[in-house]
Amino acid sequence: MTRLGCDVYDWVPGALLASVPWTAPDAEPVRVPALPGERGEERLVAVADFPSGRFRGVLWDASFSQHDRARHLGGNQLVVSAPASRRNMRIVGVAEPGEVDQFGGQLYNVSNAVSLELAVGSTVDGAVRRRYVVRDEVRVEKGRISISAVGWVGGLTSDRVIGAPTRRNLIVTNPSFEQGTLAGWRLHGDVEAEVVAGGVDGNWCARARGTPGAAWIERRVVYSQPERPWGRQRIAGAARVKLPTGVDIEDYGLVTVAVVNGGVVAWPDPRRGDPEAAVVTGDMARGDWLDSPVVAFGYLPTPPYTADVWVRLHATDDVAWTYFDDGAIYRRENSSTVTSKDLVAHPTKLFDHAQNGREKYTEGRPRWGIGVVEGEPCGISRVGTWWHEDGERLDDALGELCDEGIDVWDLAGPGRRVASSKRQGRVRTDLRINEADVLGSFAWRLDPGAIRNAIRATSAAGSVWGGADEGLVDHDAAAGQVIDVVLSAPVGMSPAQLKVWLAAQMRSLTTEQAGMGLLVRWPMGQRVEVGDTVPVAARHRSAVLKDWLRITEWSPDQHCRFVAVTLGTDPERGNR
Amino acid sequence: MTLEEGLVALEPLEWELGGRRLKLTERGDEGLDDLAEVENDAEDATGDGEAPGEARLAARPITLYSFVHAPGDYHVSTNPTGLDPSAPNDPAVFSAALDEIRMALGLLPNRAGTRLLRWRRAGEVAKRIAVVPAVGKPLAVPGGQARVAEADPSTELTLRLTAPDPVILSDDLHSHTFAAGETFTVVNAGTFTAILPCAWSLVSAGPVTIENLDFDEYVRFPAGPVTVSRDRESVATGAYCEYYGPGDAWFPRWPLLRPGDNTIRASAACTLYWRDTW
Repeated sequence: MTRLGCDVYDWVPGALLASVPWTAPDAEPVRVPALPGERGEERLVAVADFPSGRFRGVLWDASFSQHDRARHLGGNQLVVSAPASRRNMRIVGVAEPGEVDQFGGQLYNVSNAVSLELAVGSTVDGAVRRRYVVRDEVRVEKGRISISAVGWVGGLTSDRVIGAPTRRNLIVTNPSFEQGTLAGWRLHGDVEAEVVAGGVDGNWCARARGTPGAAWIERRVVYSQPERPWGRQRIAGAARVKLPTGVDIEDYGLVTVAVVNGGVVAWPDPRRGDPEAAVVTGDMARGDWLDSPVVAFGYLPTPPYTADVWVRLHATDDVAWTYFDDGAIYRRENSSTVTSKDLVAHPTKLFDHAQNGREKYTEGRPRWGIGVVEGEPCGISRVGTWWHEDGERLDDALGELCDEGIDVWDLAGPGRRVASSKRQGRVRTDLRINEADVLGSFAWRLDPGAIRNAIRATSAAGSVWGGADEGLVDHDAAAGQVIDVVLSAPVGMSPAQLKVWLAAQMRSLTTEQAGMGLLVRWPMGQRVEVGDTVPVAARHRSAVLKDWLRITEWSPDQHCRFVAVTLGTDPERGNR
Repeated sequence: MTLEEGLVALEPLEWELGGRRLKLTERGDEGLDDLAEVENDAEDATGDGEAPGEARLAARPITLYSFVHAPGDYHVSTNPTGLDPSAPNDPAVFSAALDEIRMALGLLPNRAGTRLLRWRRAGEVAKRIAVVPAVGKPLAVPGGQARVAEADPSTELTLRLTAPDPVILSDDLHSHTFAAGETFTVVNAGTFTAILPCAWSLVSAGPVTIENLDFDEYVRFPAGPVTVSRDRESVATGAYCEYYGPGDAWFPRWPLLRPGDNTIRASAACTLYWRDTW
């Protein structure tokens, strides 16, 4: 018996009173509706199965904090705390077989939490407004269970890697010419080729010379695809290369891939050339083996097919030898947009891959079912390719798009939807956050150190333009000081595109970055959402900040009826 | 009068804690007022069944002032000192009685456990509330050990209790068996609208929809047989915890019983149980 028990049950007259140390569970505030009569809006949290979406019940007595954020701040988040009562555990848990409490009541565990979906909704229309999935901590303490859940973008996307867990990519690797012959290789054009010693790993390699563009050695693999795989298939040819010295061969073709399907050349398209060829670039070392393989790509035809895939290793000079080793052909599973598409459309492809790609779901089980709503196009079109050899996370792939001005975010509403658009939110000319809307004192910060008024940018060699290099100075900004920076522009921009891109970057870099967190009144807070750009006029003592700021985080407090918003300078409208 | 098995209907001025009768002194009780009468939040004006938000949620502190008396001496007396004057003061009997009261304030079987406090004031119906012993010293005896040795029956004990759910319920469990589609006026004789736990529970053999027509509140239980508890736990075979608002919305407005008349409609045959709430 415990000490407390002794106090109680072995009471003796000498010790008059037992002091019963009953500890009340920590009471947490619960949002209270206005009564009687018409009830005000009640925001509640419901639990459903994920991904099936089967409704399990409402956590009526839960308290929760909800954070809507931009993707780069980690995406949306929900933390729910509810009593670990029988009713709640029935909703969030699974019955633990054979485990009962002293009254015979069933006990539940939460090992299924990864298959839970939490939804925030309102009793005004009874509909779900936001959905979250449990990919974070579940904690049971002090008689309560608290569950952290995340949204789709930045949450669910961070546990997905592009490509399938089991790789199925390499279809043939050559012969690193180890036999000492060119057996299996075919000579094309006036190429002169032989196998010599001195390969990458010290043994045999091949070397070739002949008319550039017309002389190569090639090797074939027959590849067939009886059924439609996920997405259009790209195929890669690769080789280790040692370039000759003393000859100007920049931009000469080095490694290419050809696909012949039933006698018809399916790749490269004879009318359009070979934009996926690997060419000699200025930064490739001469006279020594390159550190990494030179890779070229080709597209396979629409299945079904049985095609010959050729990897071609090109001579670059008719006198100097070009050395090749470790030739190989890969079919990499891809999540490509196949054709050039607006960047806003790329997330659609990525989410499709993340949900429906090979081994992305278990056959017979429900899928995530996240739809992508494409908003206004951004004007930049590109072939999107994401390769699973990179081990890239879906979130990183989205992040690259976001870095180019695409916003991807969870869309409020009853469905599982993600929006992809040029910008999240709107420019709110219809309201203004004044001092009267702000509860409590606050602070803001400025970051003058982030200002740059001179930039230089390069766009790495693409297939058509061969690279571009531009600079821009804003002599008016930074009080005439030149504070410069070098940027890397997206690959493959023409000089004109690069100039436009540069001007856009300049606009944000010459902007003084400000940030603040505000507690705003409920009616005002309910009118704005993450991504909105709002005019703010805030004063603290004699300091004032009056600017267009963009909302990056939105956290309503249901109990105290205010909304905490985090704002930052809008590079497009702010600081003007 | 519908009471649970083992409970006896209270006569006026009877008090019972955890099955043990108490005899209150002139000071009686503190903290058992109607919630709707509590005014501690100026922003939320009190009105018909309306209570300040904090009062709905905060645990209710209760203090009772009671005599010690021997087991069996449970007769009601309007005279606080009206014990048999010829009875000798027996310390052993006194201690046993004190011990019995102390046990009523002793440890609970678990953290979520409560004891039932029932009472009936003069001119009122019997009421009840679930309590736990207050943190600290739930039982205070003036005079301490000397008073115990003296076994003075007029010793006034102070019992401190806490009600985690501050809503007072009627001791009587009302019920009405609805026919399919019947509309019935459910009268809440209290002064307060209980939200969670709410005032009613339900037993139905099949799927049923409960509506409060006065306030446009609606909840549908899609599978039966179903039982619904006051804290909104629905148990049905084949489905669990499922309920919907209009149009299969996930977040229904749970029907509540306001003080006074409530027009309740049930879509199918079922039995609704409710208690008045103060």
